[in-house]
Amino acid sequence: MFLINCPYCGERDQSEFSAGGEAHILRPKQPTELSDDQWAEYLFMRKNIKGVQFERWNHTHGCRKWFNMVRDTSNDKIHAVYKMGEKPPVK
Amino acid sequence: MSKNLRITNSKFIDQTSRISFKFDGKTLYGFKGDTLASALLANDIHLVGRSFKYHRPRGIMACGPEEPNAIVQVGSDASITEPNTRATEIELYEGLEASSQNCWPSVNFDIGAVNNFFSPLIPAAFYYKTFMWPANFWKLYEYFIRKSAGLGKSPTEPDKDIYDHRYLHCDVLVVGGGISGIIAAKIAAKNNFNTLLIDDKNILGGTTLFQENECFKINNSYSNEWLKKEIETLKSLKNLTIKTRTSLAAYHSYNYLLARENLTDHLDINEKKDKIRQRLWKIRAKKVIISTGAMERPLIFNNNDRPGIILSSSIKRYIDYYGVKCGQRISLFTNNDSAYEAAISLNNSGVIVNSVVDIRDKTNSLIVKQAENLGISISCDGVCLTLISKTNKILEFYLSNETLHRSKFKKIIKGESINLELPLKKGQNISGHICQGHVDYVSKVKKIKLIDKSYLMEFSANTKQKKSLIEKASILINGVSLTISKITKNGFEVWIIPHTYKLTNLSKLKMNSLVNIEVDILSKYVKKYFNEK
Repeated sequence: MFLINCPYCGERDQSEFSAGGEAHILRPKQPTELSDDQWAEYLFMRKNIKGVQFERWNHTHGCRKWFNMVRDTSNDKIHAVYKMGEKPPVK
Repeated sequence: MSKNLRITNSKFIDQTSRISFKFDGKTLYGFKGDTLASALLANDIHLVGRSFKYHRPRGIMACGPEEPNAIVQVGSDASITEPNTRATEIELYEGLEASSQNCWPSVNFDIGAVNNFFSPLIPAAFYYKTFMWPANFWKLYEYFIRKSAGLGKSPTEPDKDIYDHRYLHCDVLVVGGGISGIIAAKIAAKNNFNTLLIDDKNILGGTTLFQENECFKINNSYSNEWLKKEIETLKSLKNLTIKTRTSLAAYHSYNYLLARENLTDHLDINEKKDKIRQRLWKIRAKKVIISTGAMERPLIFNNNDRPGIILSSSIKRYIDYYGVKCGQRISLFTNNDSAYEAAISLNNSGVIVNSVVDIRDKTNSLIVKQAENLGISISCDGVCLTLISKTNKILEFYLSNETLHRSKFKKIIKGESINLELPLKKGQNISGHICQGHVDYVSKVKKIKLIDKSYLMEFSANTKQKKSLIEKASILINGVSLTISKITKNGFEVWIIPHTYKLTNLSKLKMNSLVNIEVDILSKYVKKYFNEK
């Protein structure tokens, strides 16, 4: 059970949050120009890394805001938490 | 009839308030402060259940959450009955009803125990493989298999009790209220950390509570006295919360822990009503200190799971804390010093310690020396006796009626000399023959003849006794291993070489002197075997 430091509210229990999958996926500027494979790549294909991963989280039962998190999936260590739109920290 | 195995010197048991409870339908009595296990042991009940597959007898083996065998069903009501609870963790309360599990019709006479005899025919996966065919027979099998599955019986109606859960945040969580936990909590709280100390027992202190021995002194006072003062100082600390009867159940990541607090399980049935039974604590701690101490690991030998075989540390807790003797005569088998602590406690409470069997060659610790001075088993004049005390030049032994009846000690005279021999130790050469120290009968000296520096002696034996005597076989006379040279009309003859004559009390023998005889152990077994045929 994680203890997550919400950038708006502070430290809260994991049960208040919901995970939103991989972060920093950019929507293609011209979706109509994409092939089906490229569109499927954008829509469905996600990295599932063993190690440091960038994720989106939502403080569902709190401020209900989205934010980003850098988490190591091998040991569940949370390296950093930052607001949406901010640049991801460099390792 | 069951015996009362309670001694009266325990500070932790309130012998003024008697509690009645039922086990397997029989009304028994215990005292306030007892657990179900200690109350059963005080009533001399060791057999409390049956094992899962082969229905082997199961008894109380430990004294806390480590208990693997004494698993009982608590409560008879269909909504509150609880299967598979450890007898060692149930605090005794007025009106408690408990029963053995996995046995029918009773724990002493269990029909399922026949499985044990057929065990070679029931390998692993026997049920899965055997009851697969014919396929449509499953309906028939299922009834019996479902009946025999599982140990206890689940409740069939909804639980009426009230439960609660709460969150708790702290800087330091200390798990275990023993000596190390108490010190850790004290230091943390003194340094202005918001501290929580939890322990599964009803009072703090762990095993140090009843550690009253010369060998374990702290700051020149007995460790239990010292600890009592430490616990007193804990109570005045502002930052410290203490929760007893609380056991930790889970330790998740980011120091998220779950603990269960028992609130009314120890109260009388009438007092339980409308109160919260248990509370689940969801703890988030900045730092966690696990100070749960160590549990004794059982020694591995055949049938070590039978009733009556108890961990030595648990024997110590039962005698020193609950004031319950686990038996009348106890033998201890060990590979470390802790069994000697139990031996000393038992000895101090008047329990006969038959022997302490240590698999180690040699130890130099103080506690072993202390035990040696009190109660080590020594082979004395061929009779295995228990040394009670050892003062300057005087050894005191305990002789039972049986010993007196069988051996010549009944007619021993003050000042008479006896042969002393220490028990065989591992690693030494075995010389002579294997002597158990259990005397069979008493003989008289019939003849003493000096022939070329050696002595030829004749001892009496009747026809029945002569049956287990063979020429050239070994025999023990007053604990001295000798060889029978000849069987005579009224007994047998042995040769005694000058060395033996000089070292032992055989030199003091006269005509018609009494001696202790122990025949070769093998002959006894052979005789029994052929008698039975």
